[in-house]
Amino acid sequence: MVLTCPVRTDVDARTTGLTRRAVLGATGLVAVATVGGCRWGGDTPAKPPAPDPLAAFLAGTVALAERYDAAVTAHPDLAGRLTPIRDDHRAHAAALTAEIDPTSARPSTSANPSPTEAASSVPSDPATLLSGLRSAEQAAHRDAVAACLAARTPRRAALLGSIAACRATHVEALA
Amino acid sequence: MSGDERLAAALRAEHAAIFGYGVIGAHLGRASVDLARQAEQAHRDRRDALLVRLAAKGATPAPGEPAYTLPFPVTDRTSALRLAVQIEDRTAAVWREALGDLNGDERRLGLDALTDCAVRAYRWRKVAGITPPLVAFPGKPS
Repeated sequence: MVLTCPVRTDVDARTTGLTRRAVLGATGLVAVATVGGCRWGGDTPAKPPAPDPLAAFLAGTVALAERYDAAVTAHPDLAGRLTPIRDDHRAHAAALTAEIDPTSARPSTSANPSPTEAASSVPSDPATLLSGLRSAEQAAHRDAVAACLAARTPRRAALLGSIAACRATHVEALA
Repeated sequence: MSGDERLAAALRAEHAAIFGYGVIGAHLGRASVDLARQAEQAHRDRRDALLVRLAAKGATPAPGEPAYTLPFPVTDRTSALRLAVQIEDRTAAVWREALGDLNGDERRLGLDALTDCAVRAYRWRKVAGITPPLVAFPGKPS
């Protein structure tokens, strides 16, 4: 299987520009492979693999990073404060991508706004923006706690525990 | 390592953290001292919760050592703040490693402890002027 995005095993993705497009690139390839399986595999259609329970969590993480991209674009003066947080989310997305079996990575993006929509919905008032981001981090922290408690392997429990803890520091940084 | 062994390891880390804060306090100004007192109390609370839990499970929790070897001499505010950061980072690492061997409410206990350590480490980095104060993977060995 050829991947269209890098799968990192050792993640320091502060420098990694992971975008939703890159994630979808990988999953698009999975879809093509599945169709090919139907065509060449005879009478029994290939059953798509069950989605990885982390896939939706990854999609939410990528969307959160994009929300910061939009915020920094609209408020360049806040870049110094928001970019490190955005970079943390990107690092998390890269680590999650590496953790998820690429053949079953199917992030659901239906609930996430496109980058264009996200950019247009950035509040013009900085205080409102920061308050909204703080609320988003609190919700994201709750998601990470739930994912950590539900994790089936020690590796995932540790990864999701770190992500949950990191998001709690974001809440603090945005206070 | 079993879950109980992980909890015992976390207890040892909390004992060491409490000792460390006892050293740190003498070198800090008033604002930072309050932060150190709160942090020390939080570690004492966590230690006590672990003692109760381990005792209820029939384990014999290890008492704290009379003294611990510090990773470097603490002689002034800078080294005191550095130790505070290191205490929280190391305790976070022990709790993070424990998560996979803990289940149910014990994993929740561990996650809460990891999170608290990460937030305190962030605060200490800010006080110490360490940049960046944020860490993407708190508790992960570097």
